Amino acid sequence: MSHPGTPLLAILILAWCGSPCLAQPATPSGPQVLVGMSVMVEVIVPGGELEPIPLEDRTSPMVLRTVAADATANGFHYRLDCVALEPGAFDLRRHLRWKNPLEKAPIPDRPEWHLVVGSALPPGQVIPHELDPHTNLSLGGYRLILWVASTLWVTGLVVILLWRGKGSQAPAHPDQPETLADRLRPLVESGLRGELGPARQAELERILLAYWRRKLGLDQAGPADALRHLKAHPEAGALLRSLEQWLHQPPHARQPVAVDEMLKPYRQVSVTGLGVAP
Amino acid sequence: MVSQQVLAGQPGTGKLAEVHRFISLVRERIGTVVVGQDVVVERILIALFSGGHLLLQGVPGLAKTLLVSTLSRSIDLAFARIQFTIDLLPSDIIGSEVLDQRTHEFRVNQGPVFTNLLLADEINRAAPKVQSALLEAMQERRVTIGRETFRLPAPFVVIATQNPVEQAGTFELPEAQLDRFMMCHRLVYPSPEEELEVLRRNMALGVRREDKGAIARTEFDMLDNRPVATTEQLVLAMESLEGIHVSEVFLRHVIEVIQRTRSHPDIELGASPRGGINLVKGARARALIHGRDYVIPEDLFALAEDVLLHRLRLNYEALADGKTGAEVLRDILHSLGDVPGAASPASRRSAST
Repeated sequence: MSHPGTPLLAILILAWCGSPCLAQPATPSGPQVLVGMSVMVEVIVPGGELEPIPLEDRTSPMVLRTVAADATANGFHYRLDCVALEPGAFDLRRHLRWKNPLEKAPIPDRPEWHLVVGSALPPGQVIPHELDPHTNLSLGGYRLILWVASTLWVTGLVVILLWRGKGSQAPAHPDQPETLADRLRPLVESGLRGELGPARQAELERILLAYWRRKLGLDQAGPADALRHLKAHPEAGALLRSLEQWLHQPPHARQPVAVDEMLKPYRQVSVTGLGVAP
Repeated sequence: MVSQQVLAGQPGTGKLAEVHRFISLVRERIGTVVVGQDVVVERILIALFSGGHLLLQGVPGLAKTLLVSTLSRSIDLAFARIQFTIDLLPSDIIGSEVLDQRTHEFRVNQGPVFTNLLLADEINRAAPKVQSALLEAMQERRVTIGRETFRLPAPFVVIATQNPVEQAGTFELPEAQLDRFMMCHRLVYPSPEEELEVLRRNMALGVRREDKGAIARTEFDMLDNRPVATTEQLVLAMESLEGIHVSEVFLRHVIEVIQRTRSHPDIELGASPRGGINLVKGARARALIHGRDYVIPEDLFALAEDVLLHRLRLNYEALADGKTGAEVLRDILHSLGDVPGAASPASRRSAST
């Protein structure tokens, strides 16, 4: 058992579906597509073969490509791939030409040639301002920058070298280390007065050894060889033997050593050249 | 002889003269087999007298083994030789417990370390655990086998050798173990005259008939097994070291050298206190050998390289500069008269170039 209002409801729905408010916007002819979307156009055109006009620049709003061109009895059956880059109405004939350049007849009109491309953007879309590129103030280019940087670097280096050179020439008396002669004299004086303890006696012996080694130019020789040469030297050998008797012999067997006579020549040792002053 | 003159008139001259005669006899005996190498003989005697151990470092063919063999036969000492190899085990040196098949009990089989003079040939060829076993025995002078601890005979001196050139398949002795050697002497080639004498003696060796054939004689065949000195004489020499006077000034020199090895800018690891102790011991023995009853700076300078060099480790910067330990030690000894930290002669030379 059916509801008595059902046929009426069906009629109303059919009438609403067929109303003009739901109809697609009227287009002059051909398919309607959106910007950037590829659409395939199939058309049969009598006459010779057509080909897309090659794009010479990037300003063309339409990109057209022949997918297939099959010969028919009096013309060609084309399948064209179209991508519109701007919204608007397009006539595809403006983007085609005869393959045979001698053929001058106009391309016959077909409804498929007329393509309406709609925008995907909603109405009222705010379009950003055009960019206004500014050119920065140029310093003369990359080469000039390199030259300037190199010049500054070299100048800095010269300044540092000159400054360091002046620094090394400056007198440094307060920080100058004591010379061998400076250290020898007080030890000798103390030794002559008999006031040297074992530590300072050891220091005195080491300084006298170094003194004679440098005086005889034995710094290059090995320590044992240098000592052997020193002992063979008449003056240094006598000194070293006296020092051994004085500082190293056991007390019970120690022979008397004339410390005054031994150390007197070293009271006035000159600073330069390590010579003994007359 | 200068040494004889120095000895004359000293207290205990008879004892020292006996020691000196002992030294002369040993040197003469060694001289009949080994040509030259007087310094090595002196270092071995120093080690013997001081009870220290000696490491001989030199290329093959410098008569290291022959020298030690000759010394052992010159003095009435028990001698053993161990050729160190990679597959040697600690038990091969110190001994082990073995099961007696008759009594079914373990008994101790003492190793070659139970001797007076032990030659450890090419010590750096053995694995570290073997080196460690020997070096522990050297330090403590006793070894433990199983549950028993045995004292090593007295005197006990190890003379080890190592080849500094051929390093493939060797285990370098670490500094801690090198420190247990009193001295490390680096052998040098003999002089042309000495080498000429070596060739002459070798040509005169000839061949020896044996069984039904003959074999070429070697220098080892020339060794006389009859000792020229007794262990008692060696002990006398060891006791005589106590009578060698070491002045306070000499001790200050030793301390100065040791301290400078620890503060030198090129040295990462300076000499240990054991280095200073061995330097004084060695100086005393050297003084005895040279017929003095007191040490002098010459003893310090003569022994410094052998006693201290193997205890020093250069830092990375010095090694990168191509410096050697010998150069740095020489620099330290040369700069002893300078203020510590002041530029040494060598530093001044390198700075000026």
